[in-house]
Amino acid sequence: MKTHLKHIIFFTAVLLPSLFCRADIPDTVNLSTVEIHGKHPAQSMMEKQFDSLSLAGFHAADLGQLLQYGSHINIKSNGPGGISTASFRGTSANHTLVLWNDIPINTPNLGSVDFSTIPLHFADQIGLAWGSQASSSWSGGLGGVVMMNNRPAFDRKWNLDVTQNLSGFSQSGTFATIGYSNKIISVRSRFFRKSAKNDFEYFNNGVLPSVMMKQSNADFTDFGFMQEVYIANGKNGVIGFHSWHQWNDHNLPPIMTNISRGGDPKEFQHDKFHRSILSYKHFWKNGKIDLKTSWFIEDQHYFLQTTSSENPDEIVTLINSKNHSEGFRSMISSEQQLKPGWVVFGKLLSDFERVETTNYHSTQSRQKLSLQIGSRYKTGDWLTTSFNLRKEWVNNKFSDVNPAIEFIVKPIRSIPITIGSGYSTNLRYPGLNDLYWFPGGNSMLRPEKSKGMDLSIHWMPKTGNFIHHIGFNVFYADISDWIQWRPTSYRFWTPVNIARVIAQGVETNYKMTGEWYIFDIQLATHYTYTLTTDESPVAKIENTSGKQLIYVPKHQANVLLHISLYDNYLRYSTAYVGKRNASMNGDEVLVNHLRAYMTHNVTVGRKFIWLKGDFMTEVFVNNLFDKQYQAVLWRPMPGRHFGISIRYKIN
Amino acid sequence: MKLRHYFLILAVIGFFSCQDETVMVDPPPFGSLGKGFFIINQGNFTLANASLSFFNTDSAKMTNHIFYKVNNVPLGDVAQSMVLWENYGFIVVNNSGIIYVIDKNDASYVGKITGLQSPRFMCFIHQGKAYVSDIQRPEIAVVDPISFNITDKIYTGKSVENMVFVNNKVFACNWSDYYTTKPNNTIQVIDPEVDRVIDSIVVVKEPNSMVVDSEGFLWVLCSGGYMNEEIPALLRINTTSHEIQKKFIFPDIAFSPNQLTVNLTGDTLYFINQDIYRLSIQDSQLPLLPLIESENRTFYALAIDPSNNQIVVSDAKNYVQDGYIYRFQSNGTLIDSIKSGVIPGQIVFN
Repeated sequence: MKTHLKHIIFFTAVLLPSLFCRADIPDTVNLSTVEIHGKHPAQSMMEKQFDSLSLAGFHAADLGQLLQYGSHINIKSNGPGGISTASFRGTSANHTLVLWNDIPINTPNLGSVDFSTIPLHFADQIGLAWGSQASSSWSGGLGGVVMMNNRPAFDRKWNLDVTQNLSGFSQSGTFATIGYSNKIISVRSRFFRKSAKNDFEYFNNGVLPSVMMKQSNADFTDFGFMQEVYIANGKNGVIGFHSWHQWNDHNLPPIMTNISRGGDPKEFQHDKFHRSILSYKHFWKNGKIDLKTSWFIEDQHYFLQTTSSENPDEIVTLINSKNHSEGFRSMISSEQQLKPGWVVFGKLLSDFERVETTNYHSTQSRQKLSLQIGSRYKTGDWLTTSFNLRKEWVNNKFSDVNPAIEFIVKPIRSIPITIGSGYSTNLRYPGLNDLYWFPGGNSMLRPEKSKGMDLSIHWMPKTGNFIHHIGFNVFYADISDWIQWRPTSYRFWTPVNIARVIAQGVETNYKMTGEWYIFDIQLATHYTYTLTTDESPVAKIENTSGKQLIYVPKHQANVLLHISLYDNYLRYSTAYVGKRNASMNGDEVLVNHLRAYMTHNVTVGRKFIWLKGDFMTEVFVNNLFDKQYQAVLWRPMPGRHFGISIRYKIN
Repeated sequence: MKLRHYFLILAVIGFFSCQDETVMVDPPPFGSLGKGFFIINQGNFTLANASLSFFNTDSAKMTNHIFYKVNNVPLGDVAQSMVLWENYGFIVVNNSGIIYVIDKNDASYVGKITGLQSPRFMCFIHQGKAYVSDIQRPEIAVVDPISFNITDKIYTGKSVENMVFVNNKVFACNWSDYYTTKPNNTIQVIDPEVDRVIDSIVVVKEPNSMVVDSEGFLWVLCSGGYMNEEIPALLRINTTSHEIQKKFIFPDIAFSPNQLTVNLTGDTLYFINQDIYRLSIQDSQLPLLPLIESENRTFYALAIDPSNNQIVVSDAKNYVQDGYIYRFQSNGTLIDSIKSGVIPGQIVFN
């Protein structure tokens, strides 16, 4: 009790000042994403917001595609309609936290997110955070955080945005938004439906004889809608309601080596979720408070059935796995400028999650409470210092205090160079499947702990009509108690806190915007070198120490180029993913390594004014050079395919 | 640093990073494999990283991934077992639902048997007939090993694992209860003349391996269930009367013995119960002490060299990394060890 009292006092002492330091001058304006080029150091060098041009270019795509072509993040795709996961800086997909309007959407049972099912059409802003910025969010983003936000737009009257896509392999996508807003209320409804047969041809080198064949049982249909309502509460407050509902019905194709399996297998995964957030944001002079509460319901249904060859009505194999999870998450965050250049902030997060499934002995739940406090102090024009402390309480257990600190220096007033450095710690609690899956779940698992350091240099010179943004980051993270699922001699797998992973590397990025003769040009490139190894004593015994972890490419790069001439534009994107280990064994054979690949996509479009709205038509070709490749071993990817897109937008 | 320098560096990085780092070349011809044994490395379920290794006992050299190197395709998803028949090797690839047929002298592809769901083991009856068990089907597939076609099905009512052909009958283990509620503590007896189950012998839960001794008796090793539901036991069955004539009970319900093996002369049995144990077919009790202690190794597959009674055992290590093969003299003295593939699950002498 004495210990609990100590923690309660700690929580109270650190949160209250930021909540009660308030004054009464309203200040709230919502703007579209813009890029600021100024002399003051940024609030953090460990975050990134995608600009509106990048978002527009991927308007009908999923979040995974945007990240693959426009960031340092490694996307691991099982093919169209298959699961697509994202990992930052050599960490695993479970270490990527995904926030929708500041609330995590990672499922409580698995802990990961399928990026292929998140339509960019449902986002107004996409941001990334890592290092100390990731630590100042919910726990779990050991690699980083992907932030997907919706923003109110008041006083715009009626607006409409409709897109229709058609492309190879019977892919079709319909995306629509309709909204109305005045000075008091803003209402917006978004809708999408995406489907594909995915019956593309590929060369199957996983069986004998190796031949061209068609992908089978890979069709999918995703359907979803999102409702937003915002009500202005005077000039300095906004009440918001977001509700996102989606149904994803995916058939699951066999891997390339298993296409001969008999039994007429029917294998699919049908998921649906309902996510709702109620929020209230209030601003005052030099401060704000943000209250949010949410209720998420997710249902996952995996099904596999095979039948007798002699009697098609006789079911031979039946796996009918159903998972139902609920998350009730709330947050209070507040920020106050105490004096010019000095801001204090605090955050209280509550997370209750519950999973009911046929795969556990019984329904399982978990409660987490997290308190954060921090401060940001700006010394003149040249130095910004920020720190953040977080303490958590999970199922009656307290964590250690997890600190994060960042310095941003602008050493020379006349040269647009900014240098940033940070140190952060973070935790990731095991998913409920890790703890309670039957058989194999390990309820004794400890949370994974990371300590990370970053050094960043950003240079933003201007030459002629061009503005350049050159970034160089070095990162190092030491993650202990890393959870790995390992087979046991009893034929099932079990998770253990076995690895100590060191993830380190270099990221460079270059962005250029400007005019060249009559052309408007925007170019963005990223290159990442990542070295991720297990340096645990067990890895040394097993002779895997020093080897790159599976599915983490050492080299990764991408380029996005947008050139426009009056109302015409050309968009080119390419992504390179280096060789990846598919196992920790060293033999240079296909089953141990995946070859490097590079894909190229080109879009040509034209914009018209029609009925007072913007009418855009596009023709695109994906995988221009018809590259045969695998992002995941024995999961074929589609070759070259063409498509058209029509978009009409009126504000 | 001027901008053009940055571009230069970026271009250089881009050029080098865009090279394909793995160059896959046509496989070299291997020629005759010689005297030795195959190792069927199961690989991990759904990762399709199964492989075939061959150890030449004359040169004491191991060739890993030989199926891939010779045929330029992977073996598939969970290679469960292999049987040699005349000049061919039949490799049962469980989760790929396929049996690859190779020339046992050079590992080159000859053909395949498809249409199977989740095949596990193959048992030869005669020139024109073999049985294939399936963990997900309540039936045994009858295949023609010459045409590689499935010719018939034998309804068993539950899945079948290992099979032994002795005394003109096939004895089939009902090892798994993964996909059925029916008890997995029986040995079914099949008459291959009519392809029909003629008897069922109740043993102990999870009969996992069987051998026939020099006197024609069938020995069956039962693990007792993966959740330790029953006490493990080793049983001797009369193949004519189907009676259980001997039953050796293991001292601890937590034991999980497997890999029952017999030497060429059929008078000595070996099995793995974490360590390696040996007993004579005349013994009246289970051995108390192991012949070879595991010493932190994960002994997984066991075989006895028919030419010299050397003991060959695999170490599955952590089931993710490549395993090892250990060879011991018949007295348990270590000869050598060498790396194979992921989960070396069966050793088959050529």
